[in-house]
Amino acid sequence: MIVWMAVAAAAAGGESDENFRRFQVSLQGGALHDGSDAYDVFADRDRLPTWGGRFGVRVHDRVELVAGLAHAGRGAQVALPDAPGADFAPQNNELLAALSTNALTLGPRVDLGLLDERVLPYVQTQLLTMHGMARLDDDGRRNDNLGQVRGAGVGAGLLGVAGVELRLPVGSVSLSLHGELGYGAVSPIRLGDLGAIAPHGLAGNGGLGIHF
Amino acid sequence: MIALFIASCGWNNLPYQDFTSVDAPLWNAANAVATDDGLYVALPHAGALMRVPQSGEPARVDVGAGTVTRIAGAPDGQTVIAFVERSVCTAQRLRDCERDETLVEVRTDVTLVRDGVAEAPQEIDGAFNAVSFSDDGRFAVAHLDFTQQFELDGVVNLTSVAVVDLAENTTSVVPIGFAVDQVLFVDDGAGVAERAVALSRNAVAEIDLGASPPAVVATFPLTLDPDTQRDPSGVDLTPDGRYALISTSSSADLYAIDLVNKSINLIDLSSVPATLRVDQMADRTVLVFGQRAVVEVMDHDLFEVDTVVLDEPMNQVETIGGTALLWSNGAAHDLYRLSLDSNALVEYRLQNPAVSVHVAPTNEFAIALTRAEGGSGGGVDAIYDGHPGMEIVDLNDDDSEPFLLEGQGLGVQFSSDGTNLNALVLQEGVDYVFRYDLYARQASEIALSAPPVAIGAMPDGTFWITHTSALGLVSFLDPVSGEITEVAGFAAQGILESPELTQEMAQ
Repeated sequence: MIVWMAVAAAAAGGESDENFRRFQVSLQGGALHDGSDAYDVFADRDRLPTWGGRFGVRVHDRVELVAGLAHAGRGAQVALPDAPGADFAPQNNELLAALSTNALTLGPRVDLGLLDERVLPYVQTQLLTMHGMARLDDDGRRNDNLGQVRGAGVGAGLLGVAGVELRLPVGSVSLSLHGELGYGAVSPIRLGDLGAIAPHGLAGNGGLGIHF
Repeated sequence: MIALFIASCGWNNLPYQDFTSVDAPLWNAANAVATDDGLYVALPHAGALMRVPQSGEPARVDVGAGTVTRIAGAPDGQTVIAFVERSVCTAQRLRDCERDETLVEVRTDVTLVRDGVAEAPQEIDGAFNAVSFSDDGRFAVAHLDFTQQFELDGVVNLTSVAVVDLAENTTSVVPIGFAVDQVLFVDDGAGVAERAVALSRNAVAEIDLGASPPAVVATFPLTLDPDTQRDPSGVDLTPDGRYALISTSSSADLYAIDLVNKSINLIDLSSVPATLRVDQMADRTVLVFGQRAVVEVMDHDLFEVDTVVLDEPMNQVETIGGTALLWSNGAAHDLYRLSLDSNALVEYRLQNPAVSVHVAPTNEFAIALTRAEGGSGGGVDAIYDGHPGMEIVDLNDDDSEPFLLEGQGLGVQFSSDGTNLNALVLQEGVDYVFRYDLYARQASEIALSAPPVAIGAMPDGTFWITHTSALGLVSFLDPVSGEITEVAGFAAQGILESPELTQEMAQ
């Protein structure tokens, strides 16, 4: 896909000078799938919602180097079943489980300029490194209770998406909307003694930005 | 945005949008095993075994891929028996088993753990949820206790026991022919276990532990009529190990099984006994009757029975070196002290019915934990009726001293240093230990971080207390100084892990 887009971009020629925008800054939200049992502790749906931003530098007429930062914060009130013997001595049957991740991405984007650079289909591959931290708390009302456990770790991964960007020129800048869909995979992130998470599966993002 | 990040950093501001659940509790605070090297607890959700030392970091014991379902502590204070269920893939590829659960077999093995290290597991075939240990700590017999919660899955043979030789780390499954729910051990007179007596409905089996492998040497039917059921209600061995004395819940006969001559003697009792207890010092057996207000004392030479009349029926017996304590966990308020030499009886009147009785190691006092009971009226009796309580019974006198408790009493432990004798009382939902000096009659409270679940003693005399904390909390209490060391959060280990599937080894 990337090769095809590169060939097509080369055949289409470069942007006209008046529409050339070297930099982009965007805000975006999205989600990465995680269907594992481990993630089920933190959320009742199999997706990790993210939000963040990205910054791009066009290094070629049709190639842009894009760096991004995506944050996710997900948590749940976890219900625990009664322990054996709980008929006589009831347990504390709930806790809070929160997962936060921060992913740094970097990779090339190859696009096509259609309709006078107002519609730009693109493909993008990115290497990513993700820092994850889980926090468990058996009494969310107190800040100093003993039942507070934290585990953190780092993983690496790959993200590949295809998308479309719509641009609206406004003076010397362009405003844009983009949407993209693809696949992402992160190596297991070992969260201390708690275990590991490894988000992988369908990935989607959407956002708006400015090009200048 | 920065403010948002900062706000989300505090422990009382954790983000949560959803409600989720896990399939099992993170730890079992009611089933802890104390050994020289720490307190062991099972983590049902992670399927792991955790060692919580008094100092240092808690650590998981590597028992291999599997789920620890139950643990028990051997009398040596050093060995933990862990029952481990392992999911074994019987197909060529693990991927096939992940798609088809019928290709997965759940197998149970017994793993011995010493000093935090698991020894080679011994696979056993059958359903077991209880372990009985010989006094010398050499043997353990695993069986199915029907009074406890258990789950059955697949084709299961309930008619066998697993004999574990703790010294040799070997396990033998011994077919009994009926479902065993109680096991006693007979020693050779020098304290070395040589036989086990396994009991169940309608039958008793004698197992030779010295044979290789252990095997049943005799079976004794409790009835010859297949339409009649005889469920043991009480069982004990005479001090010489010759007779197994068995009372049943449906007959006024006492079965005296002669393990030497392989015969059964039937002894007539005045009613259906609730339970019995053999006193080693007096060499006599005490029997109480739930429906009749008498206690019977039987000698072991001629099996002659003396009957002593009570005011209320009793259904529980404790023997403490020539003396028996009789009490009831029903509606009765009496507690009796019976001298087994003279049959002299002392009556104590409790304010409320007892739920448990705990005798101090010096045998000078007993503490009865009592429950609230419904009642009308006014005055002090109404106050007692509406609250759980604790009564201190002076076993050298006929005095008892009642206390109201804030919560239902969960357990009692004693500490004695020769000068002081302290009782430590745990109450349900109450976050302190009530400490009472039984000599000086002085009370104090030791604050806890969370309400307790259970209390017990470490081999070095320190007390452990487990709490109602979801992520795990154990307090180690120095009974002399009252200093508490808390270890918390260990039950979170492995919360994100699932039990592993293992591949069956090629034959």
